[in-house]
Amino acid sequence: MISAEDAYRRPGALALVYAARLCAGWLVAAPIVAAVNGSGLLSFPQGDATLFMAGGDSLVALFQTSSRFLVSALRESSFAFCLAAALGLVPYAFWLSALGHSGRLGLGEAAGLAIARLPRLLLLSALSLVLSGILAVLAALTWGALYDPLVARVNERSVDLWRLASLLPFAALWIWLSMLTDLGRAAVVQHDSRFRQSLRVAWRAFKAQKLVMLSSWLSPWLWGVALIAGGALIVERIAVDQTGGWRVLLAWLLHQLVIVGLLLLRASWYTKALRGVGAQPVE
Amino acid sequence: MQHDTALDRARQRTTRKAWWLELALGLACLVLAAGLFRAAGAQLSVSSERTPTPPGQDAPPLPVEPNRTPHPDAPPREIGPKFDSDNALPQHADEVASYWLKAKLDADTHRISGSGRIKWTNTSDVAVRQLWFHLYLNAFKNADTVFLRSPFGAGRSGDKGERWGYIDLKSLKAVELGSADLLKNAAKHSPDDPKDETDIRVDLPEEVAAGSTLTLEVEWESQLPQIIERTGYLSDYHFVGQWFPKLARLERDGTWRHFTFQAQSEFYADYGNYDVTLDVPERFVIGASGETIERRVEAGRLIQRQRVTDVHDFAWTAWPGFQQHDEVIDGVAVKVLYPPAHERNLADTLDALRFALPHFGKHYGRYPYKTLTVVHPPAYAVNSGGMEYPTLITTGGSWHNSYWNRGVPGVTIHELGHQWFYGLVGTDEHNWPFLDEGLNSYAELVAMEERYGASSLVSLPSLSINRSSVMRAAAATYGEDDIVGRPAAAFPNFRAMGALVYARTATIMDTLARVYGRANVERALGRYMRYYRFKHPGPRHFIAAIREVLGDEASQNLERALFERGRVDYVIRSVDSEKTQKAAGVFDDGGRHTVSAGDPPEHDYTGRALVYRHGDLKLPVQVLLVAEDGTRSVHDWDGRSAWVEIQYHGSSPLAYAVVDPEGRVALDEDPLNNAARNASTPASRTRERLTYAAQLALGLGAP
Repeated sequence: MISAEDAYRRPGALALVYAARLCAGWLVAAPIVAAVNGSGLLSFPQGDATLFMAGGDSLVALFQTSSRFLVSALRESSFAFCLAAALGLVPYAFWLSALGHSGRLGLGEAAGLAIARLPRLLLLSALSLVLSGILAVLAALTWGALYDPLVARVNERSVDLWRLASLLPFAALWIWLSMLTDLGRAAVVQHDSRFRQSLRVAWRAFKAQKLVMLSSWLSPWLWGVALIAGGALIVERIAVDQTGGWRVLLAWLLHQLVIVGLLLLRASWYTKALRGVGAQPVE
Repeated sequence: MQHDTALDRARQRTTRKAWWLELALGLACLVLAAGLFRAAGAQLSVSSERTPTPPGQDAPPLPVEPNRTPHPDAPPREIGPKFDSDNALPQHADEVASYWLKAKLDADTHRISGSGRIKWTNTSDVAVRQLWFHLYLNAFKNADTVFLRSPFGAGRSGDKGERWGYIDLKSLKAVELGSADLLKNAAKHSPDDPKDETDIRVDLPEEVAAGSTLTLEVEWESQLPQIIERTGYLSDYHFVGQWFPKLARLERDGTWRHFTFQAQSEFYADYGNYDVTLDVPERFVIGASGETIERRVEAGRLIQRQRVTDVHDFAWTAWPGFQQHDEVIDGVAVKVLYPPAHERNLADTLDALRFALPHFGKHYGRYPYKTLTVVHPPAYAVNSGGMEYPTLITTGGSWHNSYWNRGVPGVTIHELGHQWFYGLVGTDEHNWPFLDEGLNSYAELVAMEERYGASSLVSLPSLSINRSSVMRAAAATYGEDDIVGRPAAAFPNFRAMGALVYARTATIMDTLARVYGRANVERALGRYMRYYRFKHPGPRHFIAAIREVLGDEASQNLERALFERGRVDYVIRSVDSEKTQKAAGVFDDGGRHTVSAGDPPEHDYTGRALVYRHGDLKLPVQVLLVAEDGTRSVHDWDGRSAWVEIQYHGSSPLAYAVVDPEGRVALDEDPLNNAARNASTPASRTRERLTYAAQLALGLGAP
């Protein structure tokens, strides 16, 4: 049986996921950074600090003069993002496999486990994305279809509030879907179950402790939002629109702390998910 | 070993076939998911797009009317400082075309039955034998009108609509001409266009001598279209503009300035007084030009009489859903009509008015009318928003706009500015749109930045964008496409006209203000606005006013920028420095060669920055040189030559040079080539922020 403490005893795997995400972020950003480098902005005394200045003169001028380069850079970044998201499954599988394993685990063994489970984890992620896509289409159709009937009856703000309310069932379904996907992943690493078995285990684990699972899933999400917002508020105070390399370094450190914090929150949820599916037998 | 067991178990359960099958299935699902999210995005963009937009394709320009002399009167030799204040402001306009009208709205058929009298005086120097009427509702009569057959669709707002609109003249008589039926001698269609009925000539049985007055009795019926080009109805909301038979303007030389209703083009008319009685169902709330002088309810009908003097148009609106706020601002009775749930927009509208009414009054002469009505249409009728009529303006936007952007105050201030740039100075909007929309966009820019500072366009946490930066970008992007100073209908589409007439004119004026002094430009504009109040000046009058205050160089740059596609881009090509050499060598000294080892140089380093001016606008700029030890020196350059080499002497190497460091030349096409430095620096802030954003996105988008 896996306990919460076990999950946090995998700092190496966590570091791997963090390092992979940092590298991926760096690569995704690279084409746009290159476009900024080539824009002439860096010849100014303040360098790219002017991009962050109030009024947005340099930011707008950058879009005006370098839009072609920025558009192609954005395409490259988007491609890099998709690639990084797909490849990111490998360290993720590594991490999950490590979380789902008690006792010592060598690098080779962990990698072997990750590779063996990778297709099932990929299939789970992809299926979840497909279902999320269907939900998004249905939500968008509902949003659009409600305008005409509502606008004749209530004021404009109420139209939008009712339409937002109509999205709540879709949001609930999406949360449920995400939770089941995570539980399915946990089942894959906990029981080494086949794809369909994992789904069944996930469903049973959810059914057994609905409220516990829901609160365990939601709480890291809410804390995550708070962490990101808090980070943004503090970084705002650092005033990167002013010169000084230390400002950039400090902003980078704070932002990376946020990323690590988010990963730890994710780990806390997976710990509970692993515990939940661990209690369920595999058929 | 436990881990061996786990690995074995994993391997056991994962056959090679299953491994590949799951991988392939996973990848296929990923592709499907990408398609679904794209479909959802498309659906959202369709469902949120309540405002149809004209097609984006460029089209060949409509035939342009001959470029007539804008105004026969030459500008005065000098307007003079007398017009720097309101003391010399004209109190009233010459009364040329006045209207006494009655309008009854059938809210079910959206039809207006109208009747009334028009008093018109021939203020030209010659006798005339014809009148020209603009029947602009006929622009929406069928798909073959000049307006609706134009390739850019329905112009700046609204699609072609599903319900047609038109105006039928039932009767037209001139009292002084024996009340003969003038319709018998009226043309059936616009000149040279049998499919258009918006510009109609009416031949008179007798000449009307210069200085004589004609009283016309008129009856008509107006069928409102579904809202299009800022007029019409949707559901029970009505916005009624261009709704009555309106006389074109007669220039002093006896030429009628008449034109069909065309996409992008606005209006031109004579000043006069309006006395209009509106008759609508009792449940409606009315907003209209002018002051309400009578209001009563009779047999389930609301009858409201409006009067306004010294104006050249009249518009009104009627909707049962309006909320009303009344307030006196700077001595003007302001009425704001807005839909329910728009309280935040109301607050922003009032904030903008409280600032801008006195602001415009101070700069361009006091607002002379007793009332101002501001109409915020409901979201579904947004196409009637963003328009100006004398003493009545429309704004627009969703109920939540004011929570996150400056759209509502921006439109409010822009349309309010038109009370001056169109209303009080009645320029020819058809021929010279830059004189109203362009100068007004500059006035809007100044007012918005004075009121809202760096966040005059977007105000979000960590992101503020000002109006001038976006205007200058649009002006630079399209600046070389065409001439700014040309008729509205000569632009291929509204995007081109918006960039050139609105953004580029505003940026030209902003450049003059930054280079020659904002106070000077405001003084010049103030003189022009006060002197030509209730008149119809053209470009020559405007440029003469600028020359009077700013001088020849500024006015030449202005003319080039407006009429010759004048452009400018300052560039620093290179910056370098080296150790100053001692003046050693062989020197002639009284016929003898003298060998000198050289004195120690006065400065350790000598350098230069090579600055170019591209384009034909010759604007003075500054060049900033900064040495590695932080020493700064600023050099002036008049910008007349094509390039200049700025010399540097100092105790440390030259680090970088910046031309126009304060960004005064807003017209500069590429502000990012205004600097050069010896050593490169990394875009560390950009990299840090983008890497973090990508990490966050990967956390959401990845598993």
